[in-house]
Amino acid sequence: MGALDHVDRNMKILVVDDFSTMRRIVKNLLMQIGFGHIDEAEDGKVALGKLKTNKYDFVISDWNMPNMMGIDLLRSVRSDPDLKHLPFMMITAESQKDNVLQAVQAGVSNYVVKPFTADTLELKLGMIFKNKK
Amino acid sequence: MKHSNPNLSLIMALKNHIFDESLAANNEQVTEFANSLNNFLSSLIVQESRPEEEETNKTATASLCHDLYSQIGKLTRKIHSSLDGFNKDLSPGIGKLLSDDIPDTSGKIKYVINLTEESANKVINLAEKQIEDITAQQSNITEIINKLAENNPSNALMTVANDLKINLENQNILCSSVRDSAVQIITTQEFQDLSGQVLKKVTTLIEEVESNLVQIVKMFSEEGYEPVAKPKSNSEEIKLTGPGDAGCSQDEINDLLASLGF
Repeated sequence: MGALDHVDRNMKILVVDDFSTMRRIVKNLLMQIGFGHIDEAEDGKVALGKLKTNKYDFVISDWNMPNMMGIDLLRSVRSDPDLKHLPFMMITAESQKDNVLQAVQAGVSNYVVKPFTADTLELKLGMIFKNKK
Repeated sequence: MKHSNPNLSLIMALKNHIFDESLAANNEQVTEFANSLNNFLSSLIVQESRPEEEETNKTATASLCHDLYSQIGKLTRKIHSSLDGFNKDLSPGIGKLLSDDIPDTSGKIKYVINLTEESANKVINLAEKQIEDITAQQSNITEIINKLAENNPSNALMTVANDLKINLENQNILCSSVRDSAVQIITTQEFQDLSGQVLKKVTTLIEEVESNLVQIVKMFSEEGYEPVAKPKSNSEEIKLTGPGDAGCSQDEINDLLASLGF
């Protein structure tokens, strides 16, 4: 857990996925690492609404969702002056190189493919927040 | 009605038959064709029954024959354009369904079967390990309790002090192990998301097959058909393959990200 020692455990995290099982899994893993303020959204549209009305410190989003895809949520976040600096990580089953490149172009902070492990999640969080406190 | 002229009987029978058929056919073009044929046959009847007016009859028959010919032309073109439409609108879709989508679907279903099997085995293994660890701890605790009961209360604690210390250390290890197992059990449930995504795709394919079948039915119905445009999904610039298709592993993606400065 050393990689995450410097990370603020009080940060507010938004987990976006259309499958409630996956939201619960990510939420549980985050809680095991010590994060306690976790909110959920079932698609990009709901997430964007929440991001515009509440303050969050980190977004973890799926890609393929109804109403608004994760990639479109990412683009909306990056084009919003109030949200554009928000760390944004993808956790998705879309594992083609083109998907990763597209997400990188859109400004993703890191990319995890499903199925994933708790270790991968911790590692990626450590990388995203290595210069932040 | 009986006629001495055998040609006349034959033509009249044919005419009556066509009249019945054209009444049954609820289609403008078929009715038009039947009318032309009917008129043509009527003129043949006139020709056969009044051979004395040969010249006049021949001219009338020739004009009706031309009309009939043009109706046959129209019908032929309609059949041709229907077949053409079949090739253009339907065949490529069916071809893709048969050559790509349906075999791909059986691959996806196999992926779901493997995923659920792996997940079930993983959860059972974790639960078995927990049962084993907890059973060992429990027999150790029973042993200590028995020792406490057998000895004089004043020195009982002294005799089990060391056992108790070792047991508490093991309990501590067990707590961590049970918590780890619980986290792994939770993580393993991601099969529900992954198999759900794959099954959604299979359901979409079934709907596509259904809509193609509806199109075939519409096409061969008397009303004709309107080719249904396939709905385009929104904002998909890059094809989304989802789980169950050969993509990159997390390690490969990490390498790609590292090469991009992540």
